[in-house]
Amino acid sequence: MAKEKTKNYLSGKEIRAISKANAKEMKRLEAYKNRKADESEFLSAMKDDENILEIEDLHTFFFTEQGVVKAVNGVSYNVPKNAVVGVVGESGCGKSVTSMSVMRLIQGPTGQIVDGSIRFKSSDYKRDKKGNPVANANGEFETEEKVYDIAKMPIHEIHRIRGKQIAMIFQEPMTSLNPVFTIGQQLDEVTLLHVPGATKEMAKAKSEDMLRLVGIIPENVYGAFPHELSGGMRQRVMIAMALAAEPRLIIADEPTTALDVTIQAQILDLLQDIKNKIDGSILLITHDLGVIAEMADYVVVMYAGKVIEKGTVFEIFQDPRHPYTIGLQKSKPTMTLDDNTELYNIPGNVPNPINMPSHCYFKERCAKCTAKCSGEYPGMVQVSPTHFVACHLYDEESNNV
Amino acid sequence: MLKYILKRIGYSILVLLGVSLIMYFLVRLMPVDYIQSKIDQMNQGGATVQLDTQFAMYDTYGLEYPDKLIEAKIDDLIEKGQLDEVAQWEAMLGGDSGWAQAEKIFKGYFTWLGNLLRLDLGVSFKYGVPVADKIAQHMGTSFMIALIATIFEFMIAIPLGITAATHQYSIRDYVVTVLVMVGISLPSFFFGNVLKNWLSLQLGWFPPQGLVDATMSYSGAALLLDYVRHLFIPILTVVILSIGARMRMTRTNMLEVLNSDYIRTARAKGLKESVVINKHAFRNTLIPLVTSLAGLLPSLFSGAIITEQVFDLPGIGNVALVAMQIGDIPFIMGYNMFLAVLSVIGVLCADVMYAVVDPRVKLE
Repeated sequence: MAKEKTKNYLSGKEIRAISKANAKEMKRLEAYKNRKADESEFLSAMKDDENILEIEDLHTFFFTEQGVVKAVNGVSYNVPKNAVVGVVGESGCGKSVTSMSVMRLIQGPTGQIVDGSIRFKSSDYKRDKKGNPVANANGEFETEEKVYDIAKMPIHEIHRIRGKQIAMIFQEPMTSLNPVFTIGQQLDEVTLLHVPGATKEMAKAKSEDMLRLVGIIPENVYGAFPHELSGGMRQRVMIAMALAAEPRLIIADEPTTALDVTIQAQILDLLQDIKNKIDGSILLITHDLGVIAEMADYVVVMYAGKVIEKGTVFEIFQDPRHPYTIGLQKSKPTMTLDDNTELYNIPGNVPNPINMPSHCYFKERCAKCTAKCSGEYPGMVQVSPTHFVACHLYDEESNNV
Repeated sequence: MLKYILKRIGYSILVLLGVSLIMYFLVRLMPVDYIQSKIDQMNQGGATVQLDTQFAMYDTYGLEYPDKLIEAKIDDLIEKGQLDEVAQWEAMLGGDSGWAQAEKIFKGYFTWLGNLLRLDLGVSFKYGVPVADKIAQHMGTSFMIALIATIFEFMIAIPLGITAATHQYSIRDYVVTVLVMVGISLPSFFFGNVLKNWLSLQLGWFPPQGLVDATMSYSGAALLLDYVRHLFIPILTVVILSIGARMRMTRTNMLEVLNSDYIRTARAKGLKESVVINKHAFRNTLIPLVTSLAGLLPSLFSGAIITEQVFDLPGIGNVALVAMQIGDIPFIMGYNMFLAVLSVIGVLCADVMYAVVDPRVKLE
């Protein structure tokens, strides 16, 4: 053990062994991703009909030259209908990778969904075999609900989900718009793609409506190029773009991180506003607890690729159970803090993602550590009907689920 | 925009003046003297070239007499006893100092420049026809070869680069990369000869050299077909050798674009992968490609010197090489100035094209 600790490099032999094993695994997963499959193969059913998205035991790994990074390692959480679910955690805890997995935007061949299921209840037009929407006798397009397991979908089928069913707002508004197309062109594209029989005029009208919805005067912005707008404006455009196809679920991946504080507040107000206007759910990913407190109905706390606590926003903020969640709350700066008190921080660092220990990942940093913590990784413990925590401290409180 | 272009043209004229001055100095400092080598040739042929004839030759070609020749004349005058003329000749001696040399070259330069302003590039020493006519006569062949080769180069290299990028680290990527590396590494004189030997001498499908079949007199479509037959191997050589760099460039750009955030946005919208690549990514990859295309302007006219040698084509590259070797000052100057003008125009075109394809670039 002592010898291993001093060795912080990989020998050529080890690197070759890793890349050989990786190549094999990546090839298998790429083939699975690109396979041709009948729809029945990835049709599924929701466990709870109130949910719109159920992530169960998701594993998303990155096959790097240093070894396999288990970025998402057995994550499960649900997004109920018309609810805002906030996912918090520090950088690198796998919260963005989870959302990227839902959109199947993980960059292959190194990044792969290895295991688990992502069940999503989609509401799409009835389509013929070629994938074109079919109109009924009145010339209207009927919709039907289907539950897809996104993790099992072949990659070329994913366009059924992306944009139309689940839309995404990214962290980097400065670089997330294509620099060579106008805002109008990029917005129109969504409508033209997802609304059957949409004409250019319809798309333009829709885009302008969306811009108005996010508080932009369309006349000034519709024909502009992205570089002519400020960061806040671009993020508004991104939100407009996400809303254009009226998705059932919007994933906002740290939508305010790259913006300055006043613009952050504006964007959050906007999201809040939109939450009330649209008939859909929001999955909000952030490391800002204030944002979560303001926006979310349910909170999922992630640490090192695993969910360590989840519950309603009230439970997480009023009654945090996991030592990490408690630590997170404490490390939040407040105005009332005495001048001489130092801001609390959780000691230590996240373990190396390549060599994760078999015991609780938080053990080394935890103040409430018990002898049991050196044992196997703690299972999820239910402490209230909606509150779950993965910590040995609460093993006695309820039965493991 | 117009103001910008006019301003750039103004700067370009200054650049061209500088280029022409440097070029003229370099040409005059070349260790070849066309007339001297011609006189040497005549002397070797058994004839003795009279001093007066030599002076007459320098007069004909519009060059100053070299000091060596004047000294020979003075010696000759002293020998003949015509001492009263010696002073007059001695006055023409420039001396060995660098300043005297430079003064001579400057004088020559301004004469040349003055002629240029009257749109007169002078008469080629070697070919005996006006330089402009000679360039015009041979440029067509070189231009046709370069144009066709460039079109094929882009048509082949861009799709190859895109497939290599979209299938990065796949077998397809490796095969394309290796083949392209082979293409880059082959010297054109070698590869040209290999192709000539194989396709022409062994298989006999194409004529080995020249532009037209000298034994036949074709016209119309038959003549065109004859051109195609003659130019096939040279163009093939140029295309295969130039694909590599362009393909690597496309691949690199495409990879960079594919990893950018806006491509992720395009995918997240639900666009099909083909639309993501051919519309969103390709438009961005196009930016450096289009600008590099504008920069190709001079190379379209400069001629492929080595390829033209291998296939004995009457292109401008071949003609320029011969002129360079024997020190044909008017032709070298004319040809290189022509390329310099094209380069300057090419750079200007590239900048304008940047503004056309990339909305972020504004010319002011």
